[in-house]
Amino acid sequence: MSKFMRGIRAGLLPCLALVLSAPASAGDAGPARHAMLESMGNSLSAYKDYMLNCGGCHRYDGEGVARNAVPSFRGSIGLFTRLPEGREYMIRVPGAAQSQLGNAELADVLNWMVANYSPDALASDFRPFTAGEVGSARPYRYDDVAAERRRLEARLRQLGLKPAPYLYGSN
Amino acid sequence: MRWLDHFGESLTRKVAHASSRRSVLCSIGKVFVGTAFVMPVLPVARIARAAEAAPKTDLETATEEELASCDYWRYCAVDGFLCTCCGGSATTCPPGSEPSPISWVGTCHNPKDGKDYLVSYHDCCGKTACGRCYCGGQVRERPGYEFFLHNDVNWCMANSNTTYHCTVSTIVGLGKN
Repeated sequence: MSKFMRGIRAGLLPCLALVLSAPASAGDAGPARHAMLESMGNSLSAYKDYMLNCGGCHRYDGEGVARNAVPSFRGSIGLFTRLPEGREYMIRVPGAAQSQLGNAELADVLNWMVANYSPDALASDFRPFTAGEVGSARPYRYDDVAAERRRLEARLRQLGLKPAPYLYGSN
Repeated sequence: MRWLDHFGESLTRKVAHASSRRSVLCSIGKVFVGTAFVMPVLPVARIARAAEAAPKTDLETATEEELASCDYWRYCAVDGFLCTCCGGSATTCPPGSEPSPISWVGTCHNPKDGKDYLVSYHDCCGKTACGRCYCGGQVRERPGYEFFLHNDVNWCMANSNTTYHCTVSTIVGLGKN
């Protein structure tokens, strides 16, 4: 039984992942993208930084607590990389910008999150976050972060995408 | 299904004619006693052996006194009442209270194996404050104006009943070394 399961893990799952990611990465180098996502998602230090700085509220599985205005990352966070202002939002949102993480660490955590929680939602030309990109966007705080989140959500919905609901102020 | 009835009846009658009740009891007993020595089928024996084989977890080796003390390693960043003293345990909420979905996550050093662990401190909610075994751990904590690293927070704020009762400490994984 366990041998059988190991067989499935070793052989079938990667194939399954390839098949599933194929439509998302149609047109560009599938295997290269797959390797990129895998290395981003396997970073042990990013996992620990996520758990210590984000996991308390967004939870260990990225599910969040929707009814208390902690939006889920699952199948959703990657959608924001499809808009330049969405990428910026991921860096400038107070939970990220004001964390104790350095720019390179924050970039690694953002990459870890999109690779683990919503690889299929990423922009087709997704480039990983870098310390430089994080450093240049991070100092600029939003006057009203909730309004910005709602604007982004509306824009994504116009594109036919469904980001996780953001229920701040609705209860 | 009538043939099945007949078959069952004739079989039972045949056995009843050919054997005495005592001999049946006797042979069933022999089979039980015999197999008990050949094959370890008794559940008690298996559980005892499994417990010997599996290494004891940290919580199993700790004494009751240790588990009720703020100095126990996994409580290093607890800010609240230990659920161990409130009818729960180090990792489970007392009956009648609910764990909070959100938590404070910290790193504690386990002196027994020399490793650092990520520990998640969930509050148990829905009952009035327990009031026993208060611990005010401050590992990795910052003042309130650095809100993201401030642990004087009622994590029950995300529960339907936001009354704070006590705090549990669960291991999430290995920490940064």
